[in-house]
Amino acid sequence: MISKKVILTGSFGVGKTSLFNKFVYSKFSDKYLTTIGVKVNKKVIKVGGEEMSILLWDIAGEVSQDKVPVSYFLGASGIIYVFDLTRAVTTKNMKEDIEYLRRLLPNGVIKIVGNKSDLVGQDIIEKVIAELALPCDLVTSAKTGENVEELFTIIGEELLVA
Amino acid sequence: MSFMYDKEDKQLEQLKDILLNGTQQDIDDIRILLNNEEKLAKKIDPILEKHVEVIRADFDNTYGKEVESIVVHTLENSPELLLKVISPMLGRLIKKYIGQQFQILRESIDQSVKKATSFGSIKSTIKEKLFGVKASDEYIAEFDKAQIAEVYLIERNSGILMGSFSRQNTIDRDMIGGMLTAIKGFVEDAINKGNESEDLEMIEYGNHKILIQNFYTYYVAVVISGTISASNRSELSDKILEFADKELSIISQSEINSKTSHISDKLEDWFK
Ligand SMILES: Nc1nc2c(ncn2[C@@H]2O[C@H](COP(=O)(O)OP(=O)(O)OP(=O)(O)O)[C@@H](O)[C@H]2O)c(=O)[nH]1
Ligand SMILES: [Mg+2]
Repeated sequence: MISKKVILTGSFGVGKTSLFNKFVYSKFSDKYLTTIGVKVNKKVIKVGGEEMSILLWDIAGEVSQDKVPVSYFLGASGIIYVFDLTRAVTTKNMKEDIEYLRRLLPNGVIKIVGNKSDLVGQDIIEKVIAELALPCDLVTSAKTGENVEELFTIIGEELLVA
Repeated sequence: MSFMYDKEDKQLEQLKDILLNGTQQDIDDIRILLNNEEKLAKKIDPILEKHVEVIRADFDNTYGKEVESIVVHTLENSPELLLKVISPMLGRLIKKYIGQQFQILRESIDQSVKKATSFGSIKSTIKEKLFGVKASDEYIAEFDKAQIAEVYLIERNSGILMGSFSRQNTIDRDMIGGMLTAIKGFVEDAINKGNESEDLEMIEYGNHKILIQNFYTYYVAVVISGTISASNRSELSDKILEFADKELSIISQSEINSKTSHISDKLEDWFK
């Protein structure tokens, strides 16, 4: 079975751990327990009739990505950059962050994800996305589970051909 | 536990003295002692008991606070439960202390034997002559035998497990590989920021050690329970190097990724 390292990163409080927990344990909590350092877990998914083991790293949020220990990024095949649809401040450093990650991981599959879609209406979502420096790949909710499985399936499929 | 060293037992001191400075006669005496389990137990049991006593006596001072918080939560429910909680802790403390003492003693013997001869082969012959078939340090090591509990071969950057061997059923090994790599990365990267790059080589917890040997694209982590001497440690290190040379240099990186089970079998062959 092939194994791939996928990281969840972005500013703090955007819902990285919640997406991680929803994906790995199918659980959601309203409590906010900030992540210290990093947590690693694994889930086996099926893509293209094949099993793929995803080693998921949930990294503690930082306002800008150059504050994160570089070793957490190294060797990652997939990068999920999460921002919070309800807090514009979490998109502020998106361009610099993605450029920085691109430089570190030139071959990585990067996905930009707007989370907490359950808290805002469609009109707001569209407005926030239109104002982003880079295109948003997917809108998710760790609470309702919207697009959570899909996010990992898409990444898995792209990693398979990459 | 430095307060223990101050009260170091006289008998243990004497034993060390004899071992380090002894004449042939002394050494013969020790050989007899070491080879006779009953006699040895007679000598060592009181020492151990005394240390247990010291730890017991000082327990309140040193661990009072921690115990208090446990007590508050558990005493209401059941006194038996309290005992259950405390005894393993006490046991671990004693075990660790004794383990340390043996390690110190062992290494002193190692050194004095080394001093007596400059050739490895002569060393082992003399060791055998002096101490019978079993070398002294091996004998002492038996009290707290170091055992390889688990071995992991892990890709250096991604933390992806390339192979593993474990004596017990542990939690998901892929996760261990990832978390070990994360901890290692954190120490090397975040704490060591700005300094020259240094690799994390050992993690110690309770009676266990994780020894880490770094290679260019991967690293080997060996979980050891019990006391390991410096010389055993360097032997293990040699073995890991030999393993890497014989088993890993001939297969390519892509093969490594697809042959996890094959590598795991090899790890078991080498390190069981
Ligand atoms: N309504 C709603 N709340 C969410 C969602 N995702 C996360 N939250 C909440 O947002 C808060 C922060 O979530 P976390 O998952 O801990 O955020 P994080 O990105 O891991 O934060 P750090 O570890 O500090 O970087 C928590 O109170 C979550 O319950 C979501 O999709 N919808
Ligand atoms: Mg978190």
